[in-house]
Amino acid sequence: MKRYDCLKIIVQHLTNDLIIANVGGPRREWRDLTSHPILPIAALGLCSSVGLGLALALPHRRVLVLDGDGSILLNLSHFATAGVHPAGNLIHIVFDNGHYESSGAYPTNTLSGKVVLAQVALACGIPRAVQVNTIEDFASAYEAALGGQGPVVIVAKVEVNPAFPKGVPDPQPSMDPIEYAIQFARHIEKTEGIRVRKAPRDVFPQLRW
Amino acid sequence: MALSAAGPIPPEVVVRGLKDARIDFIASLVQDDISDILRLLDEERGVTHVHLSREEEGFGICAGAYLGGKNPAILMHNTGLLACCNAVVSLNLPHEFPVLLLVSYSGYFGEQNAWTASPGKTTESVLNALAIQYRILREPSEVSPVLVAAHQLMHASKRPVAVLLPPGR
Repeated sequence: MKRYDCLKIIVQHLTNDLIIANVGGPRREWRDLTSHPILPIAALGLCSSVGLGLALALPHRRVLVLDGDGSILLNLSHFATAGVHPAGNLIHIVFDNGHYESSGAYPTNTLSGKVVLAQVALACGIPRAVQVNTIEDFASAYEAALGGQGPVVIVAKVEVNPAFPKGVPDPQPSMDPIEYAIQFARHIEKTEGIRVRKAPRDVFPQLRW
Repeated sequence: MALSAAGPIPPEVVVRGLKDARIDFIASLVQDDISDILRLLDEERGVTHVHLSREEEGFGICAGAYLGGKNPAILMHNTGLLACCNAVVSLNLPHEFPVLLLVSYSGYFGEQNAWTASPGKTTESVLNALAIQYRILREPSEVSPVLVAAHQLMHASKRPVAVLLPPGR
C-alpha cells in the first residue's frame, strides 16, 4: 500500500476538514494532490498533540491528523491523553512505513513487528483503533471513521517512500513554517468567523491604542 | 501554595488571575506546588483543562487550541519546562504559536527540598537562552496584573511568555 493512494482517498472525501500533518512526506504528497489547506508541524512528534488541541477547541469541526510511525513513537503518551480527553471529531491516521523516511530512511522500532501502534492506542482508551494493510481496507476504515464517532486511530502499513524519493524537491512555491501557520490560521478565521492571530486588544478590548 | 515575600500566594488568587487574564484553555501536568490550583481549575466553568501525560504534549495541544481561537496556558513544573526546549524551538518559534507558561519554580529562594533544588540553577538561564520573557511572582496582589500583562505580551509577540511561581506550601 502506498501512502499517496491513501491520501487520494482522503482527498476524495474532503469537505471542510482541518488537516494537521507530520512534516516530510505527507506534506509533499498532499500538496501534489490538492490545494486544500494543510498545516505541517515542524516539531517531529507533536502533530498528534496539535490535532487534539484543535479538535477540543473546535468540537463541531472534523480534524484529521496525518502522522507517521517515527513521529508518534516520539509522542506515545499522546494516546493516553487523547484516550482520557476524547475528541469525537478527531481522526488520527498513522502512516507506518517502519522508517524515518525523511531522515535517511533508517528503520524505526515498528519495523520489527513487535510494536503494534493500534494496540497501544486501544490500550490507552482510544475507542476505535485499527491497523490496515491494503488500500481496500484503508478505504473501508476511513469511510467508517467519517461516518462514526471519534476519536479514531487508523494505522496504515505503507511502503517506504515510493512517490517522493530522497532528492526530489519540495512542491513549488516553497513555503516555510510561519507561512503555513499563518495561511492555516487565516483559513480557520475565514471558515469559523473567529479571530486566531490576535492582537492584545482582541482579548482586552478596553485597552487603548 | 507558592510562598512569596508577602506570604503564601493562595491557589484561588492564581485561578482568579488566570480568569482576569482571559485564559480559557489550560494544559497541565501536576507538581506539588500547583496541585491545589489544578484542583480548582477542574471545577471552573468556561475553561477547558487537559491533563497531560508529558509536558511536551502541552505545547502541541495549546498550539492546536490557539488555532481554534482559544487563549491557552500550560501549568507545569520547571523540570517539565526544561524537558520542552525542543517544543519551543521547533514548534512555537517557527510557527509563531503563543502560549502562556505558568511554571512552579523549584530550586528558587525558599526551596526546602534537596531533591528538587537542582533545576533552580538552570531555569532562568534556559528561559533566557530560549528568549522567553518571564516574571517571577512575588506577592498575591501582583498575580492578576502580571498574568494580564503576560497574556497581552504573548499575543503581541506571538511567542511563549513565562510567569514563575516561587516554591513552598
